[in-house]
Amino acid sequence: MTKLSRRQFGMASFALAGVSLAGALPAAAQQLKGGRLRVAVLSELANYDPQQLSTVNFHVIKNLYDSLIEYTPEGKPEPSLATEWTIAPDKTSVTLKLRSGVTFHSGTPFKADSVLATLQKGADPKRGKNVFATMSIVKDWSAPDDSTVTINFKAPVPERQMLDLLQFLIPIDPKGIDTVETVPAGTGPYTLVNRAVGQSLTLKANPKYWREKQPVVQDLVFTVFSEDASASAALESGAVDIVYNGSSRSAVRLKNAGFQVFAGPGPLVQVFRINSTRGPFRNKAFRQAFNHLMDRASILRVGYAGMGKVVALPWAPASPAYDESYNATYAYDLEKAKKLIAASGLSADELKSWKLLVNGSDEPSVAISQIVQGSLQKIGIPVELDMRQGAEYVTALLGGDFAATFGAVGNVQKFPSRVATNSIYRTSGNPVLKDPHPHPDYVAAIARVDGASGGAAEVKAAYDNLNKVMVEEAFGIPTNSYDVGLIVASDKIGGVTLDIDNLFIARTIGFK
Amino acid sequence: MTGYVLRRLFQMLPVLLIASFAIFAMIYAVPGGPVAVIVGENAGPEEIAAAIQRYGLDRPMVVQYADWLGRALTGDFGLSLHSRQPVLQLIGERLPATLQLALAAIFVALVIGIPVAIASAVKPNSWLDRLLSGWSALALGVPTFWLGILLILLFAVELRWLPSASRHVPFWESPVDALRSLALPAITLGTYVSGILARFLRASLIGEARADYVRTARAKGVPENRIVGLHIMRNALLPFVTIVGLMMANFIGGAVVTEAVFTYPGLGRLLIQAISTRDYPLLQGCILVILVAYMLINLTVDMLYAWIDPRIEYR
Amino acid sequence: MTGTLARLKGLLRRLLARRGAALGLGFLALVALAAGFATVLPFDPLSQSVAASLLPPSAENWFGTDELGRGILARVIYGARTSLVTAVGAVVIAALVGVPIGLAAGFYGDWRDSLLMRCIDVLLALPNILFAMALIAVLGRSQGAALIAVGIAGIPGFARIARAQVMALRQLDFVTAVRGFGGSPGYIMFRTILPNALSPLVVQAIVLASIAILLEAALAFLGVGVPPPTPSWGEMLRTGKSYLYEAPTYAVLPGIVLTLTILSLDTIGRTLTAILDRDETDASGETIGGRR
Repeated sequence: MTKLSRRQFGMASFALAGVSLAGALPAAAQQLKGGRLRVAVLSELANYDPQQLSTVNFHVIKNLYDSLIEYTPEGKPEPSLATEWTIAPDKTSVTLKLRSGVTFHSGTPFKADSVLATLQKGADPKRGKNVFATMSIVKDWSAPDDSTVTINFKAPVPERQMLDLLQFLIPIDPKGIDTVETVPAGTGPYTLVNRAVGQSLTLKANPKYWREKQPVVQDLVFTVFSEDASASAALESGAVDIVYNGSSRSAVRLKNAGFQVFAGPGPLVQVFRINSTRGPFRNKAFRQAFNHLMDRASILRVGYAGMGKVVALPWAPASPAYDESYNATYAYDLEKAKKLIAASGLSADELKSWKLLVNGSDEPSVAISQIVQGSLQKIGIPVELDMRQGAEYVTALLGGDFAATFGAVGNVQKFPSRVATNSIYRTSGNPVLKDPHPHPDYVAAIARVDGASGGAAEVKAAYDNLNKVMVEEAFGIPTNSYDVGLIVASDKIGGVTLDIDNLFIARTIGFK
Repeated sequence: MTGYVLRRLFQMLPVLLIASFAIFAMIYAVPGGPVAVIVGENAGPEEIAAAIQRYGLDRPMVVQYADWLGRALTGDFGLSLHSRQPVLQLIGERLPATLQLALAAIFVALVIGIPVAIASAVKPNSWLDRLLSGWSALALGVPTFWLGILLILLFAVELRWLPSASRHVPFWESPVDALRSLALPAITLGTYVSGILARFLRASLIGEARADYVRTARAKGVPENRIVGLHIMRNALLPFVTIVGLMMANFIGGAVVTEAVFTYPGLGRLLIQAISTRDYPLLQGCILVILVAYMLINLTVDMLYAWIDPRIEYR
Repeated sequence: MTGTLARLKGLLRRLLARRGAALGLGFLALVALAAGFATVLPFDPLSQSVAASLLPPSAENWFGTDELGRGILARVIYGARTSLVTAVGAVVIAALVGVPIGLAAGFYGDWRDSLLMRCIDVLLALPNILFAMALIAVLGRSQGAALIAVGIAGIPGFARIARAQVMALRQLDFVTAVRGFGGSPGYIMFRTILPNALSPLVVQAIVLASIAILLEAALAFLGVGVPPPTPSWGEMLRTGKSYLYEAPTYAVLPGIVLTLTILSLDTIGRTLTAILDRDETDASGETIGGRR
């Protein structure tokens, strides 16, 4: 599953170069044939802005655009539109060399001005969308010449956080940056042909694409399906070649039926979110009991067909802060939970004086909420489920109007402080916990991770501290990771490349 | 006749207005507005405030409704809050799918219902009549969603002949694909309607067969097949047209359950989605289309009555 | 009212004399008994065992187990409670609101009739299921909400039948006689006309009960019925449908019980109609359901 594109780069000069993966190329990948690739997707895209990294846009971004750098599925940085990057010894700036000979779809040559315009958009609270939060560490930027860009930071920044920023930055054609929501303006392997809203999106190969022999297929057609079952049925009947972002359950079934399944390194983590400003949840021991109340194995099995991993911390295995030992220490154990509840000193009435909010539109949430309800019942705490659909649920979530609820978090495979982009883990302006943040230890732990720009030992200590504080404060109880952006493909398909964020990459895919 | 039609159309207006306002008010009163769905759960307060202002959601409910109504009267049904697509376009994509399914279901119902009704009406209370009446009861009693599940189990999971989930394929574009996609939902919905049809048609056939004019015709020696064909069938057509019309009217929005079983992209599910995301313009558009369709079909049925039975007069 | 009671008893006896209706009544009695005495039966619809999930039917679990390892038979039995409570509640609501509307509309017959019937038209113009869903969106998911939503959907049926009965009865001798003695409109409607219009209303109640059970199941199937973990037949079909490949019996068995319940009610309703029609024919010499 390595990147074909690695072949053409010299391994020469980048400062943090990863291990060469070129030798690991699958032999079959080189015999792939082109043609017309039909992909089923389960959501209509919101717009073509590459800075809006929401799941609904995942299938188009990396096909219309290129990032400054890429990560391998293992998390190693690789050059893309930036051919090398040099981090200053004091870790307050990074200097990029830009690839030459690349043009945008409009014909504009790719130069430093586009990177500057992209940085400017990202730093604007009104236009920066998902990139904005990541730009908070950036002080300013400059371009000494057309092929060099320097980004200066407000303080010393950990390497990994800089790399995350570079991987997040997707150069936009300066001429088209104001209309990028409606007209794509990238350098990517495909160009837009036609969009039938709510139905399909047609792309064709960019003839001037800079990666050799890519893209493999000339025509790329996305068909929008409103339901997982319809998309699976279309794959089984041969009406599409690939289903992107279907459910784990369908993937398991289709795998057994002989289809190929590819799961990327950027899963989501399901988190039992606790509003620690309310009722019995203000009690720390009671919250901590939930570390042991989660029957994680059952939750993973029933909710996600066993695809994923049980986790006690909000990290995917690819995260630098991932720590396996917590899964054993905070395993499902009703006796330990009972002891903590006894230690809480809460009365039986207080213990059951809350409802578990459930996203009724999400099938796995309904099942796993019932599992938690069952576990609570076993230790004598009967609670009701408060089922809400669609807008009503999201409104409650957005306003922090709940006692506890399941909700998945993303950005769990990146730099650890990125977890704070999810509402429940936000350190300021947290919509659930409000200001001032009721868990100052957690806020301090995130700040310590952000400030750990020294040696490996310092970084590790900061991660360990964050992990410890998270289970101590216990306002978010992770249960399991699960796959988003799953790729289920017919057996004719080869050359699938996995993206660190599980975005869909079509350029290497072809027919066997 | 024209006067009658105009009067009927005019009478529709208050019902339309009341129903559309009532539903709007009902959904508006519900906790949870459209903003949350638009901005997403990780949005900050600035973004939320901007969205509320951008979509005019901070205005009083009555003002929002009046604004919508004013535009709607000029033919502007606005954009869906959620997908930012014109409401009319979204409905325009679903309506043909809904109509295609409704017609296919009615076709299935006629193919099953008419022979069943005639066969059982020929000799009322015979063993055949009882058997077929039992069948009608079954067709009416089996919940459509369960029948749908059984059909999927048999034809999609076990035999793998047909897809377990349907898409809308316009019939004139690809008849084979359209039929494959329509077969199971049309059978599901059609079976139910065939039960109703068979029951009513049987009752009216038997009723007509006992009517005075048939006795007179028999006494005059008119051949039996002529009596059945010309007199009985013609008069039995009346309730028949009503049922078919009512069913059509109902399917425009009311086939949601069948649509849900087969994940069919019909109008009913679009409306449910609009309720769930509090997409007010889309909700209003869907309700309006469903109500107008219901009323127009009813009017058509009444006019067909007049054509079939000239004894009916319009006051 | 004793006369009315005796008449209903007589009806019941005649129903039992018919094979189809007797079978239907028998099945309904079984369902009602199971629902009523569910708590004394050795079934727990809530006890989970994920390790034993999605098992096929066996001696231990007659209907197999669901995705959380709960016994499907236990959930079908407890689900009968949800269905029956909804049916009874909905019929009561629909009758309490619909019958007075119909009586008043038919009795006065003037602008009040037009106004009331226009309101009923509005209710009729939107498909039941959509109206019920909109209402549940407002009330939130609960047993009460399901019951009210289904009940309101049943109002037009009662109103129309009550109205038709009043129109047929109000010019008859005994009614004009009471009116002549100075009986108040309320007295005439509820004490004179209503008892004589009871039979078709009873049939309507049975018809509505079957519609209510079906509608409740449909709402649950669409995901807006009584919230889990409370068992409901429609909810079981909904969840079962997503496990068609892993556990095909999951969605099939609860559906059989649901279908038999509806068929039973339907058979009873039709038999009753036939019996009442015959009474009418005997009394007046012509079929009431016959065509013009």
